[in-house]
Amino acid sequence: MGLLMLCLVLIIPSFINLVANYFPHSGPVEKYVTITRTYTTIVLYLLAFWHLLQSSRTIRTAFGMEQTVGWRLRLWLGVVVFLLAIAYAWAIFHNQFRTFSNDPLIKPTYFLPDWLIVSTIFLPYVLVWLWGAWAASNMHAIAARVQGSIYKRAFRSVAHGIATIVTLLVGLQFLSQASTVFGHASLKGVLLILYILIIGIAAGYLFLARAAKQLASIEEV
Amino acid sequence: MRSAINYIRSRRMHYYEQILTITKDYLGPAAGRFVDRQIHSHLHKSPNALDKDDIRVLAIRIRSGLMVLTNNETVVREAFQRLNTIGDTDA
Repeated sequence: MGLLMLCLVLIIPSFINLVANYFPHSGPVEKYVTITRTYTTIVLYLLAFWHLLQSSRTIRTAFGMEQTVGWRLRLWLGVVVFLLAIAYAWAIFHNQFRTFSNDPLIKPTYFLPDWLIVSTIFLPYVLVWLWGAWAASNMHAIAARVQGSIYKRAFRSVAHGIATIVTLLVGLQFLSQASTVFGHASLKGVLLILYILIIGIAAGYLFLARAAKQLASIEEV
Repeated sequence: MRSAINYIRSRRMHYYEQILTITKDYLGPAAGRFVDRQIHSHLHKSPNALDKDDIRVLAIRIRSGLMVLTNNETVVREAFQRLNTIGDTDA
């Protein structure tokens, strides 16, 4: 379910974005498309990482691992996410185009008032990062303790996949605050960043897909 | 007579346990289900009815299964060699 949601994050928001292309000069359409795309993405990420965290906990329990195993890593990840959240809050409130834009080259990031940005974008994203980081740490703990070299490698790949996607997600959120830079950047620069992100996404999904396939195959061969 | 039957039974279980121990080093908790599946589908037997002659066939089946799961030939070769040593030390 978590993997399905992650795949949908790649597909559904892109289709929502297409709507705006049919109304290129319509401000309200652009506004509602941006808001719908933002919330769809957040809901899908929340569902994806909630499922991944729950699955990782279920697997841990199934292998007889106590919940206290790996608590130190989870605590450290919590601290890292907390520090990232502070930096993210700073980036959001230093983004002068978060709600409005007078520059025709730059469209507002969210089209939402500050209280909605904090309650429905900032907090859910921090939660997504935390759940993702904990899911990856759980998978890492399972990989470290479970018997069987092939089994270990599959769980390690799952952990790497989740960690890559979460890292990329954090990077994307910080990048989305740099509207000023992107609005006036050269096409070459924007394309370079886009390609790096696409390669990162592909790597994360590849890790996850390979591991999921391997784990499924063990039960089928 | 009874002790001879018990001996054969324990020997058969012994083969199964040895195969399981080796396979667990590669497939961890999924090894039991994997080995049982190979025994049922390729030898058409129950795990406690394994003979020494079955080990070679089972080792080949397990090797084929592992080749699907990993492209690490060293791991597959090592597992195959270990499986083939089962029963070699039997009297």
